Amino acid sequence: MRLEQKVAIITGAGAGIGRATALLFAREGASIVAVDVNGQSLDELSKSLAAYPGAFMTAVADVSKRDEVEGVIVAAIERFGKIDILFNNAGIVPRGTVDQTSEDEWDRAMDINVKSTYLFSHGVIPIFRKLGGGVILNTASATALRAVPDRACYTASKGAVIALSRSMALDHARENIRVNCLCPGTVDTPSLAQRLSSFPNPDEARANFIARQPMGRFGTAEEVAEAALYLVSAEAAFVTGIAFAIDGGLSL
Amino acid sequence: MNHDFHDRVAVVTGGAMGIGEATARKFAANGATVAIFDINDKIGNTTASDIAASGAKCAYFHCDVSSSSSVEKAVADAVGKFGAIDMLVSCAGIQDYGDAISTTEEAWDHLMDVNLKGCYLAAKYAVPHILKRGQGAIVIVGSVQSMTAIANSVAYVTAKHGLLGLTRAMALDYASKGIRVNCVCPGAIDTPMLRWAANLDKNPEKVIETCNRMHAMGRIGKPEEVADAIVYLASSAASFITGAALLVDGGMLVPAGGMGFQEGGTGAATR
Repeated sequence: MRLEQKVAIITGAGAGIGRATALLFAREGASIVAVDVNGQSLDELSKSLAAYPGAFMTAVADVSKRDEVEGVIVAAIERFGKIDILFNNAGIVPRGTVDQTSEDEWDRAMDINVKSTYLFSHGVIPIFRKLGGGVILNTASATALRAVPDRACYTASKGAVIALSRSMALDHARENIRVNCLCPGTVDTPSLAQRLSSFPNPDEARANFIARQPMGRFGTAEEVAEAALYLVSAEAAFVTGIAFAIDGGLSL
Repeated sequence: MNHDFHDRVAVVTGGAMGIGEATARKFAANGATVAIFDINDKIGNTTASDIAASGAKCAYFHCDVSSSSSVEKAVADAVGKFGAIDMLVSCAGIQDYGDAISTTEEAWDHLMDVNLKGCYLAAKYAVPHILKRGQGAIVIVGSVQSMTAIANSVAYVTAKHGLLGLTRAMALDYASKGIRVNCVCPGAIDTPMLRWAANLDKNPEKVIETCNRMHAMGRIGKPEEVADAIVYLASSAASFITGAALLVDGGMLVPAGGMGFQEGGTGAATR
């Protein structure tokens, strides 16, 4: 097992990439602090996590709210006494061009996709420092490497995640804290299904999305989780500050 | 063991020493059969027999990656011995220093032939065998210098940039055919090649110290750390990753202008 004795906070753990990562990290021996705004999704996750010998806890929280984030960190320390891995994965995917994006939509996406990463990192880095190190992993997007249409606000938020990750990687490199980003392409998750169903013709939209994939298929949440595992594990000890594309060649 | 490469055959060019050797050992430890390609027969044979002594299937094949006939023969010999190729890791490479004026045409050609053309040739002869297996992976060892430049290294920087282009081009060509192609981009790694470069200077230890400071993490990397990245990219755990450049550089490329990059880390300043 590659994450024995490790404690991992995973946000957006209720579905998709977060859920697959929580299950994979648990299988690799980590204790899991699963965070999501959707309590029901955490109940579902708990049933699956119970199959693994490792400990876990769940926390319903809005990751864009400072007091709720602090509450999660305090609860995690109370329960496990330490944190080794922070996976800032919670995010939303607003659709639209800049002129179609309302100020409220913009603010909400930046709060959930970017400020959440600041809030959790702000709270956890002092703990990492005290413990002698740690790993932060953030979910950005392949759209921050190469643009796709109708995702202006989303792409901007994910670009910010990459830039924030690099800054933190540099600032804390000598403190044994590594910070990296995942840049997933189009991944078959509940979030994608929801987006596709918002098209007038979801089947046609699905076919169009697949047509732009060099590998001819979507990625799976489990494939992204494997990349997360690599980046948080000791095998990536010399890897920090990277934006890693797991996108089936989409950003080529 | 993290990955299961049982019944999988990996070709590692430049597998006698350094990152290639570490990669060959890691593949073998994860159950793969390993064909080591190198021009250094003595060390290549020693590495291969050492790996084989651990119980893995491993053999050495003489291969000058800059020579079409040599690559063709080595690939044929490896397939003859092991029956197939599933993975190709292009590690073979040389380092040289010089600007456009001081780099001789012969030095330019030689470095391009080994570092860039060598990867094309290895792929040219190995890919048909990988296609036969229905799926497989190629990992090319680029460099931080695939994305940025260092002074006084025109040929090396150019070749390493070329390798990222070759990676992306082949990734697109084979994306729908089951072969993933990725590039690992290491920073300064403690290999015989780095020690060779440091020894070009009067004070090699000072050069290594400078190299340490060039990385945000404050140290150079280990061959095993790059091998871990290569083996991960070659494994089924990376099944949705193609055309990617995976930096294993201790944060070297994170800061604008680099961490004292202009100090001239290796023998660059003295040649």
